[in-house]
Amino acid sequence: MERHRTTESVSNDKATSFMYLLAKIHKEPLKTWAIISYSGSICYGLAVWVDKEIKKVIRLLPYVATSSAGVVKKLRSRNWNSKLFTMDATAMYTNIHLGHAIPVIEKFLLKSPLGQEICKKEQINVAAIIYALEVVTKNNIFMFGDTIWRQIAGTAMGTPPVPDYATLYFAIHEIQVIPRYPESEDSYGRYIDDRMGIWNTSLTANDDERWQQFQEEIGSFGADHSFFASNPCYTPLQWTFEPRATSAIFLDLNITLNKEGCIATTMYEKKLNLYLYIPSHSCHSPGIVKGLIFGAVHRAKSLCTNPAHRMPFIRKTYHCLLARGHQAANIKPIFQQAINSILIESRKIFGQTTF
Amino acid sequence: MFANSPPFEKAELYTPNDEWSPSEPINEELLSRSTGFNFNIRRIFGGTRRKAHSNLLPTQEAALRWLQLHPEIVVFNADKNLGPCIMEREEYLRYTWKDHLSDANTYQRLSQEKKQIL
Repeated sequence: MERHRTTESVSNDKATSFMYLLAKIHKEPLKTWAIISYSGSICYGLAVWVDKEIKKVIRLLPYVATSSAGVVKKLRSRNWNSKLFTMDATAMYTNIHLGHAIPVIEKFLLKSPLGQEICKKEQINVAAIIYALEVVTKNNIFMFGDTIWRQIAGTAMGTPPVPDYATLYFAIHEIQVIPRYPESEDSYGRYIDDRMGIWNTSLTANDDERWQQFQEEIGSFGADHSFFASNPCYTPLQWTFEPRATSAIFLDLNITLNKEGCIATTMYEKKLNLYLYIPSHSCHSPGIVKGLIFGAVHRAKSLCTNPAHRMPFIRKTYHCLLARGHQAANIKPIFQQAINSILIESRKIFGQTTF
Repeated sequence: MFANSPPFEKAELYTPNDEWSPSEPINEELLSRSTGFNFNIRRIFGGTRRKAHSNLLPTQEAALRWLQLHPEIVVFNADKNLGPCIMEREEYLRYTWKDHLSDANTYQRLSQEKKQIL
């Protein structure tokens, strides 16, 4: 069945990807994303297979943030005498060039002790992955209207293995760089192009110099590689650093470092969030709404370190569900049930969890 | 079970037979009721199929029909699932060219023959 799913797309040798735009209406002036939809194209099955294989590698790599709950757990485990920092990649996918990425990934999986250990543990065929990655990324042929194009640099959004491929690519650099900076080694985490860490300012005397050096090293991945030397029109992946501060936003977390060096986290939601929960007239089974409510309460518990911050979020979810047409009489008992079973701890402390 | 009996074989409870069809009921009353039932079912649900009730307002339906008749207008999605966007097709093409396809370092235009070769 799985084999059939992987090879099915090859049966139609005329299938091509299509390009379409998404409008970034929240930006002024208007900008657009170009998405190249791989779904249904000849390489789709192969791309899905590569994605599955790379996922096996990703989950064993250090410094990769897998969930915001995991980040909170990691940060709460100790006190920090430090400052928070965040950084964001500039156009990550289009700036990961195959000429550099493929040899780097191949070398990591075949030569590095960590890569070899992962491949042995997960029984990964490196040659097959590298070949498949080359086929998928080098043959990115797509149609726009009646014109035919090929992407010759970077990696296209809309291709299945790309998020994990981008994660793996930069993790290889992090594995080399981060251990050299004990100022942030214990707290550093990245989710695709969004990175966060806590920088211990009191560890070295020349702190500002070390911070500057860290930024330069992070932004120089592949700068000395022959690909960039022979293709001056392409540059290594660039990162934008935010100034170090006592609070930062990472994923859906608002992280604050208080004077005692303790981390406090609350939930962060963008103003653009439309809270498009499933409406009441949807044909989903009733269990889906129950799962949604239990998930929201569980999320509030795991992401808000201060129990007093949990109930406002839960009330907000309740009002959003009402706005989507759900009846108070139907959802209120579910909320009460979720609060009783998940927030037992805060009920004991504050006695205010009655909905 | 017995010394000379054939070996025991587990009988199947149900063996489908595609060729078998039930015989007509002998009971006349049952026959007339079944015929009446079939007739009424066909009368209610047969013939012209009833149109499903649309959940769109007449103005919304009219707006969708109008958009279908105007190919010079493109409807596409916004980033971050912020809803549908409407743009003139020329403007959409201009954005595609200006923001993306005009970058010769990233995109290369292919002829139909080249695509077949690749």
